[in-house]
Amino acid sequence: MNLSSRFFTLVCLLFAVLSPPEAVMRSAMAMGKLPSFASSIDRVQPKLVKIYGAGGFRGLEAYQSGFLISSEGHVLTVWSYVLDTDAPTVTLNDGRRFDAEILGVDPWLEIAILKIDEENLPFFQLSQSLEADVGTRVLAFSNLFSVATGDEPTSVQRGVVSAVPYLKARKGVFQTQFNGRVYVTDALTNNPGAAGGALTTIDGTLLGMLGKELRNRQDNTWLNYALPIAALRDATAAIIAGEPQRPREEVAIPVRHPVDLTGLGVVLVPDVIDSTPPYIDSVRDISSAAEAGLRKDDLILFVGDTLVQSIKDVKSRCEKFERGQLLPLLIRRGEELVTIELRTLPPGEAIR
Amino acid sequence: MNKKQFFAAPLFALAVATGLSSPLPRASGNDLAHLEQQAMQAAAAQVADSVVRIQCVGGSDRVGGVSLGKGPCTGLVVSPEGLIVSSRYNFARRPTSILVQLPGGLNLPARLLGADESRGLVLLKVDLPQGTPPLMMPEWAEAGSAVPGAWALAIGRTLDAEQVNLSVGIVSAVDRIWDKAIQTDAKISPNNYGGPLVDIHGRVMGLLVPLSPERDGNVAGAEWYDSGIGFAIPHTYLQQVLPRLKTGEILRPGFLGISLKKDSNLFGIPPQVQAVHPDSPAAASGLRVGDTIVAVNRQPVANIVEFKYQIKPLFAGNTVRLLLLRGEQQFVKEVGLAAASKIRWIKDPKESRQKPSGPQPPKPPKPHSPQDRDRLDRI
Repeated sequence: MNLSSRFFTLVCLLFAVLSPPEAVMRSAMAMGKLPSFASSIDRVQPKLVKIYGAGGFRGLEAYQSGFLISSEGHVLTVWSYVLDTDAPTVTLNDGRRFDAEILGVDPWLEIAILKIDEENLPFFQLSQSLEADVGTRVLAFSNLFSVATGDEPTSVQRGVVSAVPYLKARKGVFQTQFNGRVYVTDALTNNPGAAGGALTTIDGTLLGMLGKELRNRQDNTWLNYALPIAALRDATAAIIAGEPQRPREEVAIPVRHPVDLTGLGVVLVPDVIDSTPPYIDSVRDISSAAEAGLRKDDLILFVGDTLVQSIKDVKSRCEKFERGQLLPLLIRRGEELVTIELRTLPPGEAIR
Repeated sequence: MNKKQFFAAPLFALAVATGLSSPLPRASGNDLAHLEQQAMQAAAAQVADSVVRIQCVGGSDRVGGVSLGKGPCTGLVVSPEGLIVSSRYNFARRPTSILVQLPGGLNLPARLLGADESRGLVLLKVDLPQGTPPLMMPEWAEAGSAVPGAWALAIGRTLDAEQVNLSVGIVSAVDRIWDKAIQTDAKISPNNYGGPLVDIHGRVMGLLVPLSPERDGNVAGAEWYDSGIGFAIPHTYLQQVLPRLKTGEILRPGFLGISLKKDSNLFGIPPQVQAVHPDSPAAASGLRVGDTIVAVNRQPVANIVEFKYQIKPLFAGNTVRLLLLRGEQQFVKEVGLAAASKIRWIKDPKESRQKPSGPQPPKPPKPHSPQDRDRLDRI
């Protein structure tokens, strides 16, 4: 390297430090190498597959996406009606078609593993996936709207991880079973056929699997999200190993003697509309409620650490508390928030 | 100091600096992309402490044909003493009670102070209990720095209480919706309505709200959520109306009470009065069918679009000076604008119910009910 080229490099580096984006762009252009996601995409595409199965009616598309997770043809995808067929078809990136066997499903995570009879395939090593945080730039690979067929590569979308919240979703009127953290992206992946696709970093490292078409239960928007691979690893390994289905992780312990506010001396206003705000109409004279200092016109905002937005909410929250415990409430009284702990009597003890 | 040392020191500093600024060393050509990613994350972190989570109790679930959901929403701190702005979309349900959760997790009761119905803004007030540190103010972007092509990051605290949610795009246009808003292709939705649109340094350019060029109302424009067409009210405007909102004022869009002669090309014809609605400022001031509006506040208006750019940003209570042409005669009228609700709007029998045109999101919710619709041609 002669002196002038060394000087040039130094100048480039200096620029890189002083004002990163513009200078890197300039030096990259000087080297004839524009920054792009192209090489990452080239590496990822051979691992994606297009899956065809049951459906084909109005609103029920007969296709979805998936990706290879072993060199021997294991494919990870979502468990959906598309797989309600004896042998779904898997089309590889190079256009080869295979009848796939459904190796197993995890109904709780709603994932499925398919197996095709082929070897030496390119694949994502699940153990080498990364975890992303808010702002991580991502690429989403899927066959949304079945745009790709045969040996056409899947469609790539670009975005960032918008949030990593707990999934609070619904499908129609039903809540979804999975409620762990997911990657919500600002790439619009919520489209027919996208479920089962891959979410990667801009370097092509696997982050998650694109989820089904769901709505956010909280604000009614369509959710663009992916299940983190870390949440799927154990279930995937179990299915491949042929282990029996694992039990659901969260088994709620039934409450045997649920708390009932009326029994504690709280009379709420009549529940007349869909979401009647839980105002206290009156407090019985000798009662837990009177003892704790609850008053007429108090508005119940929290039961325990959960916001309650209606009388229905209050009732269902209270039922999660066993009698005999203290019931913590957060009350709005005028412009003030007041914390109150209601003594609940153990079962058997009568209320005076 | 000899020559070698002279070079060694800055080179060492350089090595340290480059080492620090690229924690994701990759041989690929993605270095610029990674630097950008770091800048985006730093920008979000910069403003995060000024972005609050808001939760509502009570109110109706469906407004104007839109299911609202009961989840949390977002607001932005605009004074250390407890003033917070947000989008009126978030309060369209008319909640009985509003709770603001500060970034530290503290819940405080809030009350609605004032509103700007022309831009869809609301001002909330929380009383900070003694000993609570003042709220963190955001940094404001320099006026005029929001230019098309500049990075634009939309921030909310709706999806997760602990961390702000982020969507990245650019400024698509400025002075949109009759000179009211910055437009961005970042994904704007109930997940960030009421939050800030910030630049790549985390400085606030504007406040995210749903807006529609064709309709007014609490939820108008929400049908474009996540479509790549989103709007933010510039912070310069915000600062301008803040003193009025603080006093509890409700600013309403101002109307003359006229309909204009229609033309498929809004640029094609000068604004000519087609109808003067009863009980309106226009009627009281003696405007007549057939009058052509030549200038508004001494600003010449050659067509309907130019006219709307002058009128649409104004409020009820503002007075405009209209230069009119009636036949061969020019004369001036001073007209005080009124709220739409004060005017008896007469239906034009020739009006056809046209569906709003323009790009649609992938899955638009049901169209709004007619009563939520403030029609484009009413001025």
